[in-house]
Amino acid sequence: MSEISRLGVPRLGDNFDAVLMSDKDRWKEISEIIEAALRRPPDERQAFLANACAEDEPLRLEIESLLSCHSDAEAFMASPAIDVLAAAIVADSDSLIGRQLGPYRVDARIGSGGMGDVYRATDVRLRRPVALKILPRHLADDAYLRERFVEEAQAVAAVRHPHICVLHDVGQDGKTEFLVMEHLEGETLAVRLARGPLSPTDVFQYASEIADALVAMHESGITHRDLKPGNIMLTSSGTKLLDFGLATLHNAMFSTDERSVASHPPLAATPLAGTIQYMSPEQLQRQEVDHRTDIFAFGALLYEMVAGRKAFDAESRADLVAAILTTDPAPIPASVAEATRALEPLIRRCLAKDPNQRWQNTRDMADEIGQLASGVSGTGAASPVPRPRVVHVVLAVAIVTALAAVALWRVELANAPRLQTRGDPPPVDDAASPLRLGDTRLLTAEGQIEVDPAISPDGRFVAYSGGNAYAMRIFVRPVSGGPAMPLANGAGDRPSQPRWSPDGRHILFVTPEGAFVASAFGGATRRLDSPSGVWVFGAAWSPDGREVAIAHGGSLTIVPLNGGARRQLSAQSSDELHHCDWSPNRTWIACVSGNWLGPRRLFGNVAPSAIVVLPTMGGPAIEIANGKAQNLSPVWSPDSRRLYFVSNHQGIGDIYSVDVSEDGHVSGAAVRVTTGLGAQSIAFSTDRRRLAYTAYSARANLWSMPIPSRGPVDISSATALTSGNQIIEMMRMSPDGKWVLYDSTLHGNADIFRIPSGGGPAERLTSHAENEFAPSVSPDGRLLAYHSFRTGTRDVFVQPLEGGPVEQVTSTPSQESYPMWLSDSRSLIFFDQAVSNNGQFRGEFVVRRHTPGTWGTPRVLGLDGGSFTVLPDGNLAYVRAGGVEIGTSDHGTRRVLYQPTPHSADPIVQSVQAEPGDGRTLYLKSHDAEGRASFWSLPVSGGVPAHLVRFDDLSRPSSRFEFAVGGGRFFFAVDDHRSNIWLADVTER
Amino acid sequence: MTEAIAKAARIEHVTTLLVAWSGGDRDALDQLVPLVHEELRRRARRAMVHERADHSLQPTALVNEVYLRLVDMRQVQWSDRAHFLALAARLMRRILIDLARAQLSQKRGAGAVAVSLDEDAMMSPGRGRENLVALDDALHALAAIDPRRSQVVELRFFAGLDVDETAEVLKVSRRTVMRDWTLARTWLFRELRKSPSVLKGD
Repeated sequence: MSEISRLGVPRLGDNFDAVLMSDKDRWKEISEIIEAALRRPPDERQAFLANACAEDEPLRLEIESLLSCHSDAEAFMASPAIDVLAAAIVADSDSLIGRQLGPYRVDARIGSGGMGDVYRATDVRLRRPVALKILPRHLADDAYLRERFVEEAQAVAAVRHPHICVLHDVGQDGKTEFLVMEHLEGETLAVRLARGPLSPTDVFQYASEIADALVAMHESGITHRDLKPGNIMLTSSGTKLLDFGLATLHNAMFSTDERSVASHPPLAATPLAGTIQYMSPEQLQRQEVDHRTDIFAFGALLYEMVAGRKAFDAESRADLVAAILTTDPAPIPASVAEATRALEPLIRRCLAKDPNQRWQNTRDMADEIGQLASGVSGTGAASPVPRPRVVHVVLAVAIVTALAAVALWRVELANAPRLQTRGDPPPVDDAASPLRLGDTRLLTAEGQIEVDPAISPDGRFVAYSGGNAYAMRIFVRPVSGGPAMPLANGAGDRPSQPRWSPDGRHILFVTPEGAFVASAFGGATRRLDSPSGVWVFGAAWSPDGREVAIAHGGSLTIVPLNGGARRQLSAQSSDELHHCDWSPNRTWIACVSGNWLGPRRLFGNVAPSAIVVLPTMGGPAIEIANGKAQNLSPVWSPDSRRLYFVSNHQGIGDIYSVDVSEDGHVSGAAVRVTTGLGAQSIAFSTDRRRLAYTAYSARANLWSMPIPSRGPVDISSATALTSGNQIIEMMRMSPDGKWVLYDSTLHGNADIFRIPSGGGPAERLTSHAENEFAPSVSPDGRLLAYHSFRTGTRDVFVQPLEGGPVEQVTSTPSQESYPMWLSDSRSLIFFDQAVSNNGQFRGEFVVRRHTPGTWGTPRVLGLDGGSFTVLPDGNLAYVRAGGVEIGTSDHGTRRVLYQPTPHSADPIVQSVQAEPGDGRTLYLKSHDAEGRASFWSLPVSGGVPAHLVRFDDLSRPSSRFEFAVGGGRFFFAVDDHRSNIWLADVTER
Repeated sequence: MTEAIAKAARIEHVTTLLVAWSGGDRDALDQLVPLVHEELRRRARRAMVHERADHSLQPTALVNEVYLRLVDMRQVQWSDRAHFLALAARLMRRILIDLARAQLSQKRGAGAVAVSLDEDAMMSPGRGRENLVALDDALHALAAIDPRRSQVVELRFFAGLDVDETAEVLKVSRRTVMRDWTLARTWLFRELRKSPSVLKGD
């Protein structure tokens, strides 16, 4: 029972058997539906599932997740365990690490695949890194094959092309035969595609580069025969094709039928799991192949890049072979950008079943791609340009939006597939296309941040919130051009979410202090009467302009503007409501729930958020989009039967649409209606002819600077430890002070990384498709704790750093988060957000690990603090009420170390840290009234904080409260946020 | 001829041990481990010299030959063949997983690192041990919600039984075994794919 990591520990107070029972019942339900689905023809399964799972979205997602693995799993466990282990022993005996093969010293295995292992090695003569691909022994032993292979490798080595991985050498050492290749850093196109659709710019760049590489090889008489996304690396210098020169080898492996594979025991344990998804019909039929087989594979690859799903797909390998031999891929969905959809005829010609019907000459095909690329490269975006090492969503925003200015974006709304999970194919249905984006142009470009656009009812003005990290204002700008006019304010800082009154004369906006109505073109501002002392997060006009809904916490107060009784609606959740929109038929108010972006915090927060709909007549809130992605900016259609919203569900902010039935439930599916838009918030004009949207780019990288002996100094001595398109939120030192652990969105969603505290390569420690945050390493250096959204809410997880099963520590529907190890390396402190009778309550708990995988029941710690850090004596330093306290983890003593004097210049502490092993000095982080961060030191023996560092540089704010200290240095995230507002012509049917 | 005699002797020894183990002799388990290790090494050696697969030594050989031997010698303490096979499968699993874990920690000590580049690596011999250990963990989780399907995996994958034998042990139809196997395999594959692909020491 100790290994049930999937089920986690029981909820507080729950009966363990009861939890187990409910899991059993759930599984029974899942297995019955899956088996019933598998008995049906593939094309009927979707409908069957929709019916069988009814309203149970998690059930359907779980079943789809399993069904999607069904065909891949066919080759899994094909050999019995004893032979798997025997094969591993064989692999060991072949282990080359530490050996020298010719002039190459083998350093590490960097990959293993069906075609043999790949090692990183050092060329000891030239002192450069290389990659060695070791040939499977039984193939190396075949004299005829070996000769052919060497001949072919020589031919490949003679070709130099910027987009082909360089083959340096073919070597032999004893019985070991190997290829020496350029050592590349980056990720494969397969990995990239699994994260979500490519932008049109990327599609054209990759397609052009791959096509050029194919031209070079084909003109030298070399055929690849195994072109697939896994053989294309995306590197800082563009795409690189791998594995040219393995054609003979590949052929030998693939033409080996199952019986003869079994005769080669090392392979028997490696059933042919390689992909046949990109193989040409003639290749599958074991006929002679030539360069046109690569053209077919290229077509399949290009189809996938453009359409966001595989050209051929099936439940089993047999069905897949049949599909490649007999069927044509479905039309590319109309939701795909027109620019890339223009590639469809070219792709279809690549995918002709008969090689004679395909492109005969690779250069002709490459030229055609160049032509189509130049058609969209008015911005120059499609010309091959050096790419960052990892193509990242946030950078893509800028490029995509630049491209959007010239490309015609077709948007479609369909009633077919439901909201897809990350990496799944995008919606396909081409039937209805009620929303179409036309010309797009930039409205604002001057400031750092412009968000929350709202178009005036007459369509002539856009109101938005703009400024920088420290000060925001509401601006009104004519659509026709001309300067932005700041709205008369007097309402305090950080106003957001402007909303035009239906008559176009007033603008409603909110600050944390309240909801305000201002005259749109000069005049008075008044605060609406809403509960005081409660932060306001959002507000919306009623359709007739007579009432305003004001969001505070998880509730809405409906305030009639001309007096009258107020009403209250509750979302029954502690997650704050914001960015609300009242449906035209007055029945609903849709809001974002969770991840509110203020008041001091910058935008571009990574945490997910849900879309909920509250009935204005009262009643429970209805969740429209769950909180597993960032779902933002809900906007109703004029008939109130459709809700648009923005979601980064597939990596990049796109507009989705969902039909809402009369009773407020989702009818049908949420469908993505844009591709790669990169939007954050959206607004329509009253006549629905225009769409305004914010394109947002957010980065936060890890910086470090020496702790000054006295201050305050500015951050001019700070240096960046990481760079790139990522958002780093939380960081913590490893107990030995050697590493900084942090969360980063480098790979599309937040994962845990670590980097040597003195700089060096970062290393990724988690790779789950859901977000992970807040790493903490146990003092013994063995266990990593973090919180993750993989269960739908925040839960605490632990995994051994040495590898091993991931343990789910908490599993309640509330938000267990920010785990931190205590000095015994067995207990964790974590926080939970639970609602008490008087609003939000945030408590900390301690939970203990009895044995690997078995955790005790969490107990309340009750210190009511935040930002804990463990001192060498086992005591805890933490923030409470803006000051610092020291306490014990067992309900023992506590003492106040520092408390700010009200209305003084004393810092209000937000977080506290100590250098590992140092029990004398605490370091504090605060933000002043203008949002500037500072670091302070505070002796544990008592005293007043000494001001060490102040973030004076407006362009380099550090807006979050997390930081780390170690080795005499501060480590912190520096924010780089930019956004602009775009206007698009739109047609809505 | 000498090979045949050695084989017979080995099987007899295993038989005695299995009987003892079933009767609660804990030492028997410890003594059985080296025999499984030896069988493992023999398979690995054969693989290395590219011997053709020998049908008399297919996966089920170890347990089946032991059983036949038991029947022949009329010293069967087992209520039936099914009982024996289920026990043998449990035992094989335990020994093989312990072995995989031990070899892994040995390798880690030597600073070896395994990184998977793509999903093909899930099937690669280089990651065989990691996959076995992860599979064992996942199988525990499966057993908690679905004991029968987990046992199908134990019998087929760890003991190497075929569909008919598995059906006999579990007293269910062939079709049920095949359906259970398909679903369990899919579920386990998915669980393994979810687990972290980078297993790296400090």
